Amino acid sequence: MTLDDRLRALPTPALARDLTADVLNRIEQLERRRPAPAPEAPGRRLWGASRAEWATAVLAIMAAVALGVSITTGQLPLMSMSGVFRLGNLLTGPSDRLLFVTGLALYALGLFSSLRPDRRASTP
Amino acid sequence: MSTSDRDAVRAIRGGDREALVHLVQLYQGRLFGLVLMMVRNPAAAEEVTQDTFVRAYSHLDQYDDNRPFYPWLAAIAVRLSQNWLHQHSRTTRREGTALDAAPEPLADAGVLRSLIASERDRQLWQAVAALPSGERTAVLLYYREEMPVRDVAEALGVTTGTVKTLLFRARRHLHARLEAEDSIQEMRP
Repeated sequence: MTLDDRLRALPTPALARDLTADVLNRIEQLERRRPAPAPEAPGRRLWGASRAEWATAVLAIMAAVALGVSITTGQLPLMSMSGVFRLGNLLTGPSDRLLFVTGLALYALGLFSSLRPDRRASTP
Repeated sequence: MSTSDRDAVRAIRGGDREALVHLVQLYQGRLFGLVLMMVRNPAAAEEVTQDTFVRAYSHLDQYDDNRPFYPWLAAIAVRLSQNWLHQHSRTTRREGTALDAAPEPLADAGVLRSLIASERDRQLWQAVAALPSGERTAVLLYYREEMPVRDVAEALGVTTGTVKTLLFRARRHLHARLEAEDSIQEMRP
């Protein structure tokens, strides 16, 4: 019998006991330790509307105001970011501009939160 | 991969505990033999064998169904055994002793006799166990586990050329050791 043959037939030392129960216990412990997915914090709602809905509404109002102003002054608003800021500049008073910028910021926040992946969807 | 292995893996992914039990019972003995030869300590070998199944279970999503299951499992066992040896050698070094000087439970003839009955098999087992770690692992995976050189290389994280060199050196070492033992026995009255 060659060395290669002997190596192929190398004896397997017998396992003294069945490890199945230990393996299953350890897997169960592992699964118990896995953190449960954190529940999505409920968004603050004001009069039944979410942040995103309020932000959209505010921006829509501001856009309508800006459009009104632009029609009054005879300038056509552009639907680009620079156009949006130009619309903001068309607003007359500083408080209106502040409101417009706040609306924009809220809109961006609402957009950001609505674009985030829904973590609850990955829960088995 | 055998159909039963593939079915079992699919069932485990679907949450079937019976399928998991089936795979553990099917491979635990073979895996224990491999790990024991690497770590050379029965208690540690049991621990590493369990770790292997737990690791395989938690990374089952990374397993490719088109490849054989046991070599994937064996590769995990090899990596965990190497980690164990690395940690063990660090501990012994911290304690101021070399790994080779650390007591090996299987150096006790009684323990080995309880694991392997035949004298001739014990002799070969001890010769393989005395090989340097890389050569020993290559021999086990190539001969005992009958894995192709490419899979052995993948499990060890080396090239196929390195595996061939390890096997060549291992054969040379084993020839030398077994011949020396044979001549000692011949000299005995």
